[in-house]
Amino acid sequence: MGLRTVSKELKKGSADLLILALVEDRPRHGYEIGRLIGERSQGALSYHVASLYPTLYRLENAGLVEGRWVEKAGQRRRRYYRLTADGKKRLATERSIWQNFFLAIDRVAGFHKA
Amino acid sequence: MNWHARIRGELARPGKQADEGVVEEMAQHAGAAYEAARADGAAPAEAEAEVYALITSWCAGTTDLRRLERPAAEPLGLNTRSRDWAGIGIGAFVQDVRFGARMLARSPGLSAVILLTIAFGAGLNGAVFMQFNDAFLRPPRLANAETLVWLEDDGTRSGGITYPDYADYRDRVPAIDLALFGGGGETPTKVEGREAQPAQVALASGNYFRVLQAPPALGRTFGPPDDLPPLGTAVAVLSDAYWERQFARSTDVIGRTVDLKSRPFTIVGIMPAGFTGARRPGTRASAPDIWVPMWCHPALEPGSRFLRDRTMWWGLQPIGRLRDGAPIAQARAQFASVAARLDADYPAQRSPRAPWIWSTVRFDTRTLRGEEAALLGLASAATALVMLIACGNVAGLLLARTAARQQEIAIRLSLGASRVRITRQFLTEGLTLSIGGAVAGLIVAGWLTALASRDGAAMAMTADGRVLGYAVFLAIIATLSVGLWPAIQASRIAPHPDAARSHSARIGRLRPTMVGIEVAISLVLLLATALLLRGVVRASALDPGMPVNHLLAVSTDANRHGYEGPRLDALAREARRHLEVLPGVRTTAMVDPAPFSGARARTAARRADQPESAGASAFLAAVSPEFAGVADVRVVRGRWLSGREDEVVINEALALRLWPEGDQLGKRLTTGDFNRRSHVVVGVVRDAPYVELRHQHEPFLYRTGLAGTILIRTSAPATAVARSAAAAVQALDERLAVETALPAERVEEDRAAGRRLIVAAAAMGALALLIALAGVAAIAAHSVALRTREIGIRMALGARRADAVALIVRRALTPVAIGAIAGLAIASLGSRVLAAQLYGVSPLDPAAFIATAVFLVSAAAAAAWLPARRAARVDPIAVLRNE
Repeated sequence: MGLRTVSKELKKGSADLLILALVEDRPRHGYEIGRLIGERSQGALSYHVASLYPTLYRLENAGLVEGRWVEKAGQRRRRYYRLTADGKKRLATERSIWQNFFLAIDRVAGFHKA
Repeated sequence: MNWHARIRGELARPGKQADEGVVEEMAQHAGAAYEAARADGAAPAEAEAEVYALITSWCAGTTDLRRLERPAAEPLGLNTRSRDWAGIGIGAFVQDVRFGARMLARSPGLSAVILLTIAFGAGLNGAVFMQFNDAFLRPPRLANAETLVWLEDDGTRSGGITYPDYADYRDRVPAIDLALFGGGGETPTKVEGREAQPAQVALASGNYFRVLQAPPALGRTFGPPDDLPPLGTAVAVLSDAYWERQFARSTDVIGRTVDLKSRPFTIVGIMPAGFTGARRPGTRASAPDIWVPMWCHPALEPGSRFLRDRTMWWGLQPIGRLRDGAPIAQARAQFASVAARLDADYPAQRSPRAPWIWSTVRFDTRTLRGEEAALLGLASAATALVMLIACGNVAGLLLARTAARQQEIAIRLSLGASRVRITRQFLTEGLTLSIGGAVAGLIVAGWLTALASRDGAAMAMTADGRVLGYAVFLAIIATLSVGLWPAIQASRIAPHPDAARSHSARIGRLRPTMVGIEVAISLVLLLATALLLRGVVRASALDPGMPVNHLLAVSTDANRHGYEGPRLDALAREARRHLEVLPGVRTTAMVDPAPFSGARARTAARRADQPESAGASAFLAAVSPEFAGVADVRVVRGRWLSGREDEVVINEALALRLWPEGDQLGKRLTTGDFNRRSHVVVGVVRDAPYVELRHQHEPFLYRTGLAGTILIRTSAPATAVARSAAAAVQALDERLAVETALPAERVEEDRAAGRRLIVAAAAMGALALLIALAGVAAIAAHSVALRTREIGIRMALGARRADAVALIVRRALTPVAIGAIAGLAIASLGSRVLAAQLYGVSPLDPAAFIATAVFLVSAAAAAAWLPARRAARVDPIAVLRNE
């Protein structure tokens, strides 16, 4: 696997994790998710917004998130996404994958000098 | 910027399909991203390019941008709509309760306040209701009480029935087996050589125990053969308590003797424990120690005409049992016809009868009588009011809490939770609170009642079905107001997150109304306290009118020992001679009744030249001429009594009533209703209380009398002379039972009673005030939260912090002002109910009104100011940044 391929896989994997994690606490709509990704990563992961909706719809079709239209008085409706039970499981899996991955790298390449 | 078109354009590639929902969603995002870019400083073209790039990347790739339709999943793991009602089982309920408990635990302070509020409200109400129930509602514990009836033959008098009338009804109304009880009272009783001690003796007709279907525990009860004129049979039936006290439950008590007023009575039976006889509702509870037949009365009170006089009412109560299933209507008809007969036969002897029979077990408004009823009614109303505002406050607090949870509710609603589910949730929380509060309230009620009955009123409080029913009723009311209303409000939030603001606004409108009502109620209660306080202050300043600390009343039971007529007068004169030589005694007089002794005599006084007029109801005392010297009577016109039979002296109040134009001296007046006696007015004296302190300005009449109690004026304080005075009189005849009484004691008791009333009113007023103040503080706090933005902007525009605080306080005080005005209005209309307790202070006393209003408004301002200070800490910069 070349570096670009690895990156692509990593990117794709991390995209799922990010979106699932962001709707874990409470349901959010698309723009909010995108904004939060940018804010919380302090810009480092903003490229994810470019693939936001494809990822979101993929997750929805897979049954990991559930979307609903919510109506505000005097405004247009917005679509909110929340985590499903399956999504919760997947989120836990993703988290542990990433955690193990980092631990492994640390054991080999060492993040912490201690 | 038509994002939709752009997106559709991007998506319209061969092989791609997208639905309008996708387009809309992306368009929204695009629009928001564009605004954000512009806000960050990008030029329009730049921003547009950015967003186009975003759209392109979204629509690129191989992903099929089409959402599959899925069946609605379970929202948030809660029950779906179809299972809502099926979910009402113990399992779901328990789950609700646990969830509710968790939510309550999250805000412990609030929950504690709510619980305490309900507890005290319910407790206070429960305590008052228990008194009410015991005094007026609870029927006596008697066998087959449904066939027992009370009799009343004159709707205007609460003194019961006269004996001859009773005998006629007993003999001529076949539908009822009529018995009679009453009379007696505290009687010196000797048990086998021991010291004479007072015991409660009750007179009862021969058929009393039969009518009550009350068998004895030991021996027998007396029957009709024991109750025959002229003197009955000297037999006695003891109560269980008395048997235990005096005879230590020894089983050979039957046949032994008790001496009532030195007359021997043979004990024939003991009643079972807990039997207290019948008690007419509205009369004070008492537990007789000894029952004796009615016709023994002449033996105990020689010379008394009570059993033969058709015009003497002395508290005999008729109670009867319907015979053989006779309907009460039939009894009423027979009773009425006998009454009509009596009216025809004895026209001059009383006002026409207004007969009425009512069942002992069914509540009848006729049982409510008198001052005691009015006072209890007032107390009930007041506590109910306090409970009302307590519930109002609690509802407000819960509403505020649902406002804080709006977002949670909105999301849940938008994700499919049904309103029913949410309502149920909140209702369960409210129920947990209110039931907890009601249980705590019952405990508080029991504790309050125990506290109150230590105060002298020896009422046996029992929690019977009525009290429990009332408690449940209170709990339900509490639940409804505390749980249901906020619950419904909560579920009415429309399912979108921005409902937050409109709901908040709605609460903001409701709360001031509630606080206004609470303030009004508090004001009424506080005003009552203020008025009563003025009254008590007035009372303690009230002059008893006579030097009570130097007065001593001495009485004997001489007429039991054969003294009557001239012999009695001679004894009295002899006693007074002995008394007047004692050191410390200045002079003596005869009085009947004695002042401040609890005894009172009234008569109807009319002008002799106006025999048809209603006249005035006046208090009456028959005194010897020396009374003026003994009691320092102040004569303002004419002179005092000289000893002639037909002279009277009246007080200013009576003079004003009968002869408003003045000039009463030498005029004649009549006393009495049916046997009118004529008197000439020889003098007018200053108004002064005689029976009770508050009777200062009641019409009063003195006439000449040479019998009764000896009133001694002492030079030393009366307490010092009491012992030697009693001994001096006792020395005249060993058999006499000599009693001394100090009018000063009664005056002090009078004042103490007034003070107790104040404490009660003040406690309730304080409680009401606290609740209202809590509401005001809540308004202010809510205001601050709501107007943080507004305040921040104002301050940024130059307003000072003090202004911000003032703004909040002003807004919070508006409902207070309205409520205060309303409260004042209500109070001024209703305060005359208290007039009897106010010792002459006007129910519209301006000082009390003004002081109360000022106090309330100041307290409210303080309550609003505390949370309002937070307004001063608003950081205008932070506010603006969030704009």
